[in-house]
Amino acid sequence: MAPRAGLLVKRGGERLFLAASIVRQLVPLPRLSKMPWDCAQMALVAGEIVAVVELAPPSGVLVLCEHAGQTLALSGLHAEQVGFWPATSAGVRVNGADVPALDLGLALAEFQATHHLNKDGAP
Amino acid sequence: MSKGFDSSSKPELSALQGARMLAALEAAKTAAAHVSHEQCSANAALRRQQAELEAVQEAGQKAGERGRDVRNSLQLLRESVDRAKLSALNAGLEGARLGDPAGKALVVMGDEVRNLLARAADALDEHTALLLEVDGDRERAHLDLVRVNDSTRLNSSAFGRAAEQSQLTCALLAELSTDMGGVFGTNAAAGRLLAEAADQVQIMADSLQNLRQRAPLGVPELRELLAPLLALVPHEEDPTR
Repeated sequence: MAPRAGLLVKRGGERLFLAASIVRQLVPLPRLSKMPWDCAQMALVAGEIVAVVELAPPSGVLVLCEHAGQTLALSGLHAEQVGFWPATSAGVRVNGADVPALDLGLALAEFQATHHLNKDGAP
Repeated sequence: MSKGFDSSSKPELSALQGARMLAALEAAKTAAAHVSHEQCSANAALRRQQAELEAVQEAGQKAGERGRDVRNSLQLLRESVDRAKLSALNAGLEGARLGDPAGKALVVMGDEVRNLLARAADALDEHTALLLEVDGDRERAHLDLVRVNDSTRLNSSAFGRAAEQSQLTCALLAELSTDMGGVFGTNAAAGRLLAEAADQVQIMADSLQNLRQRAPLGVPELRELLAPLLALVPHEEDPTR
């Protein structure tokens, strides 16, 4: 099976795989600002303003990714290792264990749904 | 006329009793002066000890400040190691994007560097934990020192008060000694000598009493008994011998 190159991350206790083709860079967590009228936050990274999607409590690192032609920063992920691993249907196999790939579209949709629900429920 | 208690009568003291009282007073005065001197010495030693304790406390405080500096340095090192780990991961990502044959070396090297940095981070965490323990021990020692210092301060003031009392006692005894010297018409030194002489006389009187009880003994026997004592007494050359 062809190896897949990418980054292994942890979200809480869950291990996830991010393909090297979508991960641009890892940066230390900068100051985050609330976006008006939106649930996301924004950060200034290397002179560029990026939207930050909070997938878990802050880990001190932002994972900059390419999604639909836009740079998107993911926070709350712990970067573990970069490497080549055998591909599986859902992600990669690392030391005999299947590690699913993080679906950015799905994660973004979940994030928006959760935060919009919270926003609607606010007094 | 009934014989009642005559309030105007004074207790009569013999010269010998007066001398003995004066001698006793002199001895009490000397003892009180000695106690006062010892208390002053002890108080000075306590003050020195207190100063040394304060110096140790100050040194402990400085050590605490240095500990804070070291912790800040360790924090800076930890942040640098975390940044370096991110750099190693980013280098690995570059290699991963290049693909298996071309970027493999970069990925492997990045992984190796990341492992080394992880070990460095563990060591730094261990150092930070040890430093915290040392700081806790230092803080406990500091509190103990504060307690000891407080106790020394209390002891020092107690000793100071006791020394003042001793000095007052000395002064009172000196006054009493002077007054009694006036009453008995002699001074303390003469009183002491008189009391010692009286003791010697008493011993001699007792010895004579013993001898009197042995009256049946004849003069030659007495001479024989006293011979060792008489030999000690210096006398002029006896022309008959």
